[in-house]
Amino acid sequence: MSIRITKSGFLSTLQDIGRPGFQSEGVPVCGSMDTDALITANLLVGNAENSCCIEFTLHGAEIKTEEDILIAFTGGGARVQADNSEIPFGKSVHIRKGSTVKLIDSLQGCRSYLAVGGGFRADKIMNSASTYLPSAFGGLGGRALQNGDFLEVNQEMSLVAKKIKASLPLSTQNFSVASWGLNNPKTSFSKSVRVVTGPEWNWLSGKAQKEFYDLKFSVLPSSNRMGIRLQSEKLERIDNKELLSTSVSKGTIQCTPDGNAILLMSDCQTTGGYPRIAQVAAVDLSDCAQLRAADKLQCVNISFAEAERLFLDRQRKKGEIKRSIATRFNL
Amino acid sequence: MIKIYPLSESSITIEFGGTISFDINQKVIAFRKLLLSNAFDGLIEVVAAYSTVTVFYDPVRVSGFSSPLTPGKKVEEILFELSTRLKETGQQENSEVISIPVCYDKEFAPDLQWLADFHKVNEDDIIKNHVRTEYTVFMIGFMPGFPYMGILPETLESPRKQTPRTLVPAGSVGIAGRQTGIYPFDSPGGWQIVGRTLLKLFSPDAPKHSLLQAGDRVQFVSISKDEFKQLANA
Repeated sequence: MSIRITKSGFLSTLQDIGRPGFQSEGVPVCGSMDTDALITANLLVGNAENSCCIEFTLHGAEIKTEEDILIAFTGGGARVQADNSEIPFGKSVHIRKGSTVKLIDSLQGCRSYLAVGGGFRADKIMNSASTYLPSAFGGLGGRALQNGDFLEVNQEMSLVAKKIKASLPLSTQNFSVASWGLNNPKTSFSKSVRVVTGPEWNWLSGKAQKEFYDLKFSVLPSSNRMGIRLQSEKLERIDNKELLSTSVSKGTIQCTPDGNAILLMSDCQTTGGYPRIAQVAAVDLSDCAQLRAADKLQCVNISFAEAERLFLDRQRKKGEIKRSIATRFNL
Repeated sequence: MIKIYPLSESSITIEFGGTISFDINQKVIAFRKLLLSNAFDGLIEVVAAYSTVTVFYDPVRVSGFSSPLTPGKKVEEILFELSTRLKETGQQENSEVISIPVCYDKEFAPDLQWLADFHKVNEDDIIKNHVRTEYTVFMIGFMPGFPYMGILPETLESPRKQTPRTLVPAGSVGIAGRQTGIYPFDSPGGWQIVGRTLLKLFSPDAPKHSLLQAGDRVQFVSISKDEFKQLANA
């Protein structure tokens, strides 16, 4: 089984949840920017939640199915059409061989995910299929997808994947959409994220601390998978001492020497020397992954305890969603 | 002295000081070892930096959904308890010195002349000073396999470049402040470049990915351009 990339779009890469475990060797955690969306896509096609998907950036990509396959799109940044009919996000879809699937312009979000029943086959490097472009490893030869690439799909499908596929017979139409869904297509993504103050928060002046929450940041076009670059009033520091390089993580907001900020994302370095002024609550990182250039971002302060509680709640809900799918298919 | 603080919902840092120092870094490396040999359920990885150890964990596995003690508090307690068991460490155990052949020829050392001018010495003095010291790897960071080494002699202490280069070739040996490092991959970078090695600092496919680990000792060895070319063609 396979699909063909007929147009690679702005930036399309193979990703899974990432490769934690090698940060002490300087290897970034990598992986999907919007991990909630990647997991949801996988669950919709009966895959293990860490299976390899395509991460698309904005619109422009186009693929062709080489077999009848089970697929699901999640995330944002595009709408999807197959032979001029809309394929909804957040639904399992059985699609016929030879269909052309196009990602077209949408006004919301930045990254969408395509999962296929069985998962894409990819180079596993350090336990992960995630493409890490700066060092060119993982995914498909460590590079972004290109026009003409064939992506192999694993033949082995889980029992639930087979049942989902069987529940969506193809008669005359080109694709068949499940009546149920997981993530009713999000029509908008929050531009307000909850943050906990970071270890170097007090390196900012009182004025900058106030502005950090009062003003909105603009997302700069230089943002990428390593970090989302944010600009507001120049963040003023009390002094300009240097931070000895220490750990950072996805969600860390650093203050750069020019007074701007960087929100670190999936491909971020393992360590950094810029003051860590805040940490985005893990539950809001998916919304961050959907920010696009010129969006305005508002930060809202919460306590660490609150962020931790939100995270545990989210994990509990994920467990419930998995069980609900199993129940639906009598597993 | 010791500070423990959360980095995120799934990571906590323990800090042993705020300066580049052998003593502090040895505590860091010893603490990382101690923690790895006392791994708790839910532990994902332990990252050593100059003066900090950061523990990454799965909060659900650490305390489940209904524990009265939150995952962060639980890991904090584990770290605190372990820190009380951290003995004075003394000298590093791994005594092997890893030697790294470097070609300091101008072709590979675009900043050698600038450094010589900055320190008001000639280029050979810069090379001699860089080679004569045995360095310790304090941490790996910035990119896969990039070693932060020190402590550079005062005579080599140099600022970063005003404008970082958009492309520093893989194998480039650089200087920044009182640190020296090696770029494992082509990358943008702001360190002053004094030479190049052919050693592969990071191999994604090999069982041992990173040539160097925190705590390793390193000695640079100057090789000529001819030797470099021979090695390159070998």
